[in-house]
Amino acid sequence: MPIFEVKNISFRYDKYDENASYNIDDISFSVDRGDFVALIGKSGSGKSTIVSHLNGLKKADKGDILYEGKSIYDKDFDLTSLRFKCGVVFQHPEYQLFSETVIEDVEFGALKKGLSKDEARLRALEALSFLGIENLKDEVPFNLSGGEKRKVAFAGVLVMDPDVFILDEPDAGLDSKTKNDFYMMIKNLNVLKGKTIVFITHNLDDVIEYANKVIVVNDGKVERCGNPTDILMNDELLRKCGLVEPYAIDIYNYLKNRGILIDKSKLRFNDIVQELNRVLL
Amino acid sequence: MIRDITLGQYYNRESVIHFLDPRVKLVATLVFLMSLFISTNIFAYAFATLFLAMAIMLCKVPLSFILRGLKSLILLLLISVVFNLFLTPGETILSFGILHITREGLIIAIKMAIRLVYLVIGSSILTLTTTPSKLTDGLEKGLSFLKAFRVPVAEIALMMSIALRFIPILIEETEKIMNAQSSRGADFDKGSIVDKAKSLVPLLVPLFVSAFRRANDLAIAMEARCYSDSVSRTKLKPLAYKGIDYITYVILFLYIMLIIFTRYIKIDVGIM
Repeated sequence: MPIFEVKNISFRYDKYDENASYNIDDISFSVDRGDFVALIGKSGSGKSTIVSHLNGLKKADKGDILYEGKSIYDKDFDLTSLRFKCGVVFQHPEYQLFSETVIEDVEFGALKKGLSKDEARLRALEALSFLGIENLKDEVPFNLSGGEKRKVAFAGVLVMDPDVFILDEPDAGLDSKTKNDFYMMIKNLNVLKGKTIVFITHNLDDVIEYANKVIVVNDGKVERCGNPTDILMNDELLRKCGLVEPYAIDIYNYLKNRGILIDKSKLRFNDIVQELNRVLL
Repeated sequence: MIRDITLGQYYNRESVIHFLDPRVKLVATLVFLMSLFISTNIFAYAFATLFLAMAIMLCKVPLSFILRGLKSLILLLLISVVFNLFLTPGETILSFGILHITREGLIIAIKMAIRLVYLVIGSSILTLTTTPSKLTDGLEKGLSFLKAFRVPVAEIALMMSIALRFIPILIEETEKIMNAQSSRGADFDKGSIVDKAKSLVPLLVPLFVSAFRRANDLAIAMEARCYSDSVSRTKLKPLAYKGIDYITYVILFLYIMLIIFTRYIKIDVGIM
């Protein structure tokens, strides 16, 4: 059974104009437990609006969302408990930080989940240590750099130990090394702990590198949903959705045009290097 | 609840009210507010209601959207009505133990409620139909005669427009912060009033931080674009009255005359 089943949801911000068009329209997809799902699409296509429905922060005007088979719109569905199981790191981490010190901010979710003060503090320290920012614990979160804020925001979600991580452009504002470390950490959570990851990104190489499923959103509709390589090789689809081919596909096509065929299911960076070694040496 | 504050928000529509010169709308709002305070009898309130209804109809902003702004006013409205109802001395018409409702208290309470509601709706229509930049232009040009008395009109207009512009921004930011906290288990809807009030405290810190940061960013952006109060500016779209603006002035004149005229009507129509 999928962990999330999104069934024909539509939503519009303008509730007062009956003629206003839906910002997301008739969206359907499913996410299985342990999936690493990427949502891609140009800016303003509706990606953030879609993910904010998953933990019930926005309520769809039409359609339904099932979490482990139960509708999150049912009267007796416990939305707060869903939010503990489904942690969100927002696009702008500064909105996510509100306490006077980093440690207080990080432990907020754990305290709300019902953990004792000591337990919550311990978990918060573990989360900060996991992200390598335990030295920031007594800092004022608002004075941190963009990358540090993002890590603190992530630590705030990590302490809740959710089953699903929803990450809205997790790499924005991160330098390349921090970004790689960050994605590796998320990948570890996915592979080693079986956490489900849903992330929004504009970097299609990261989609090939990490995701096992991709959802292409265009003008508030799901344009395609499926295997990353198949979708990202569809030049016509990418052009239609205002996206540009990732470098991995460029390399694949370049080599193909020169008669060197590499396995298209192996387009991650390390796979490409290995394939090139195999073909060229 | 936070989304219910409509004051300061602009609602984009193509309507005759949106099309009016901002100076006309400023004068119209002022005239309407004045009319509310000089209204003494039921006829005056009937005309004010008619005037407001016409404005709502013509501005093409959904009525439900305008009325949403009143939700945040309910507490103030209740306090004003209850105080006036029970604490105004006069001829008692109903008693609940030591509390007495007087005829005078009832009249004042109804008048205050109508005035408050109309006041908020009237001023909301101004901001819902006028962009902040047009409002600034209107204020600046409308008050330009004060420059002769060394009043910094342009700066005052700019400050007012920035203050107005910040209302919806702060509302949006409050909502984002609430979402961020809700996603980590905060619940703003459950619990007693004290619990709800307590849960709002962690909202204020990031909101103030964000407001100061935005103000600072804006100041830097203005400095970067060489903003100075010592230069006289030209406008991309200078304000100029059109036929419809003159017609509106005539309607406004007739309206205020009508309201003044109602003060001299002496008909006993019950409590009003």
